[in-house]
Amino acid sequence: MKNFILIIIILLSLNIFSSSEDGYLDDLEKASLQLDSLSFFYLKSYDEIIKIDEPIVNDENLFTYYSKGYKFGALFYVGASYFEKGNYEKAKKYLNQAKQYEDDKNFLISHYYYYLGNLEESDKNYYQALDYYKKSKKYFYQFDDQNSKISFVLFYIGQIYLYNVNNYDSAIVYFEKILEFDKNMLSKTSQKDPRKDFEYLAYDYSRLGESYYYNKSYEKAKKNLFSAMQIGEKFPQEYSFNAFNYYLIGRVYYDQYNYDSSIVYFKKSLDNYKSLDSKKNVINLYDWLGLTYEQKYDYKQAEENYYQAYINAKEFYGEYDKKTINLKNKYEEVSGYSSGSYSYQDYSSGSGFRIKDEGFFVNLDYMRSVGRNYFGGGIGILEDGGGVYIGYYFSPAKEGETFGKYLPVVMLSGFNSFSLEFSCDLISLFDFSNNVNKSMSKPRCFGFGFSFGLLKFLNVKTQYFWSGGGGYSPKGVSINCGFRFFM
Amino acid sequence: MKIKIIFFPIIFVLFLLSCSGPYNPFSDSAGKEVMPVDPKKIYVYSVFNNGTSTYYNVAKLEYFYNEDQIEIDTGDKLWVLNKYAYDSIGNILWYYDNIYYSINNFGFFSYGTSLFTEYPIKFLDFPLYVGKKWEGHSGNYYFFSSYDTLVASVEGREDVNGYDGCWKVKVKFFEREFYYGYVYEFIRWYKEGIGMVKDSEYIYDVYGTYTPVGVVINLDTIIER
Repeated sequence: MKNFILIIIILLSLNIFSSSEDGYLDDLEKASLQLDSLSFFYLKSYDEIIKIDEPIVNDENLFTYYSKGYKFGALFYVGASYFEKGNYEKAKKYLNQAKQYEDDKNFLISHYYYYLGNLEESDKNYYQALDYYKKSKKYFYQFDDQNSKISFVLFYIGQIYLYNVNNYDSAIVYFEKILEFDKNMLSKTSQKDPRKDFEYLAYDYSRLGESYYYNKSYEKAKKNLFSAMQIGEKFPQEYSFNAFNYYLIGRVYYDQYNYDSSIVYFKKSLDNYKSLDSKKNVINLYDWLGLTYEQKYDYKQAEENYYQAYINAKEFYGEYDKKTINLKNKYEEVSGYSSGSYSYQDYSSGSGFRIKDEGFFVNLDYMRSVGRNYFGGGIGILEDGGGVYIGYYFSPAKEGETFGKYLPVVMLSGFNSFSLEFSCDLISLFDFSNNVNKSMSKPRCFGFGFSFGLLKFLNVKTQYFWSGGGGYSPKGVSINCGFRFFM
Repeated sequence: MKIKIIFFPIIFVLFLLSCSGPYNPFSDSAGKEVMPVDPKKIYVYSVFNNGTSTYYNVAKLEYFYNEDQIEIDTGDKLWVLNKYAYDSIGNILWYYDNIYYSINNFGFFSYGTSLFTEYPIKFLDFPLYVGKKWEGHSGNYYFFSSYDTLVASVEGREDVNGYDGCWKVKVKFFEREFYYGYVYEFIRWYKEGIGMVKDSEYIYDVYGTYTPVGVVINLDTIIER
C-alpha cells in the first residue's frame, strides 16, 4: 500500500507539475485519467484501460498536447494491457510507440522493459529478451528494490538461460538470486502463507535443481528438487508442478545409475500426468520407465512400459507418426528379449555403444587363431548402424623369431545387440613384393565375424579368417573378447 | 534370460571345441618348431628297404645341415642338407651335399638339388593341425622324376619311436600331364623341437598292377657334430 501511494505521488509529480503544455484536457483531468489507468492496471482491468487510453493515444490532435511522461504512460498502459490480453501485435505496436517518450526517470520504465522482454521472448529473440529483462531488473532495483516483479524478471532471465540459451552456470546464478530474493520477501510478510511458498519458492527450487541437473551437479540438483518436492507435496492438486519435479528427480537418479529410485519418481510423475490427462507426458514417462527397466535388465517390465508408451502414442500421435513407430520398435525389441528370442545387450557391437549411436571406441582383443595367439586392438567410429575401425594384432611366434602381423580394416554393420563385421588385412593387401617362392602363395587375408554384447562393456566376437596363402596369417575361426569404452 | 545369454557363448565355445582343424581355434597346432634346423646336430636314421635300388644295402642315413645358408637370387635363404648313406659296417655308399631346403612362416620347402627351383616342394604347410590339407604344382618343370602335382594332409598325431604325439603328414605326388597311375607317397612323422622322427616313402600304382616299393627310415639318435 505504501508503494502504491508512492507510485501515485511520483506519477502526479510527473504528469501534473512537470507538464507545461496547454492542451485540450487540463492537467488535472490528464492526471485523473492516468491515475485511473494505474488503478485499473493494478486491478488488472485491462479492458477499462484500453477503453480509456486507446482513443486518446490514437487521436493525434489530442495526444500532441500531452506531456512526454503522460504519452509514455498512456502508450505503455495500452500496450501492456494488450499484452496481458494476449494480443501481442497490438502490444508491440503501442510499446514500440512508447519508446520515443522513454524516460529513465519514469518509474514505469522498469515495467515497460519487462513487457518488451516478454514480447521478445515470445518471438524467440532470446538474447534481445535477456537484454530487456536485464534493463527491467536494473530499473526495478533503481525505483523499488522490493517490487515483487523483480522476482518474475529474474525468473524469466533464469529460464532463458536454462531452456533457451543453455547457459546453466548463469541460470544457476539467477535462480540462486531469485531464491534469496523470494525468501527475503516472504520473510517480511507478517503471516506465513504456504500458498505463497508454493507459488514462489517451489518453482525457484525446482528450476534451480533443474539447472544443477543439466550442469551435472547431481547432489545439488537433488537437494533443490527435494526442497521443491516438499513444498509441492503440500499441494497435491498441483499435478503439473509435482509431475515435472518428480520427473526431474527421476532423471537425476537415472543419470546416477540409481535405477530403482529413478523408477519410483518416474512413476509418481506418471501418476500426476495421468491426473492431468497429459497424454504427451504420459507417453514420455512410460518411455522413460521402459528405458530404466531395460537398464535394469528387467525386460518384462520394460516391455510393459514400452507397450503402454506405444499404445498411448498410437492414439495421440497416430499409428504412422515417427514417435509411435520408434516406440513400437522399442517395444518389439524388448519384447524379443523378454521372450528369450534374442540374447540381449543394450550397447551392441562391442561395448559402450548402441550400434545406432555415433561415437568412437577402442577395442582391445585377444584372439586365438589356429596356430597362434594374437593380441591387438582397434580404434574406430560408429555411425548410424555401421562403422569402421582399424586394428593391429601381433602374434609372438612360438619360435620366437618372427611376429605374426595382422592389420585389419574392419567394416561393421549392426542391429540389435549383434553386429556383423567384414575385415581385410592391409599388410597382405598391399604386399606388392615379388613372390620368390612360387609354392608359397601370398596370403590375402580376409575375415568375417559377428559379435554380440554379453555385458555392457564386454562383447564376444567370433571370426572366421580366410587367407589365400598360408603361414601364420590368421586362418580359421577365432573367438574374441572385446572391451570397449566411451570416448 | 540373463543366464541364457551368458551361457550362449559358453555353448558356442563348446561347439567350437567339438570341431576339428580350422574350425576349432583351440585345436592343437604346430609351426616351424616341428622342423628345427640345427647345423650342430647330426640326425641318424636306421633304414628298412623294401625293394628299392637306391637303398640297397643302406643300413643308416645321416642328415645334417651346413652352418652357412645360401642366399639365392630371389632373396630366399636356403639351408643345405647333407645326406650320407652308410652300409652296416660304416662304409659310405652314396651321399648328397646339395639338397636345399627353406623354412619360414609359411612352410618347409624342398628345392631338391637346384638353386633355381621356382616351385619348391611344400612338405609342410604351417600351421599344422589335424585334418589340414594343401596341394601344389611344379610349374613348367617336375618336382622330381615325372611328378608335377602334390596333395598333402595332416593325418593325425601318433607316438613314434618313443616320441609322443608326432604329427603324421602325408604328401602324395602324382603325374598330372602323363597320368600312368604312379604315386610317390611320403608319410612323415614330425615332433616339435626334434624334427622328422620317421619317414616312409613308397611308390605304387593306383591300379594295383605293380607291387609297391619303398623305404622306411626311423630316427635312431641325434648326435653333436
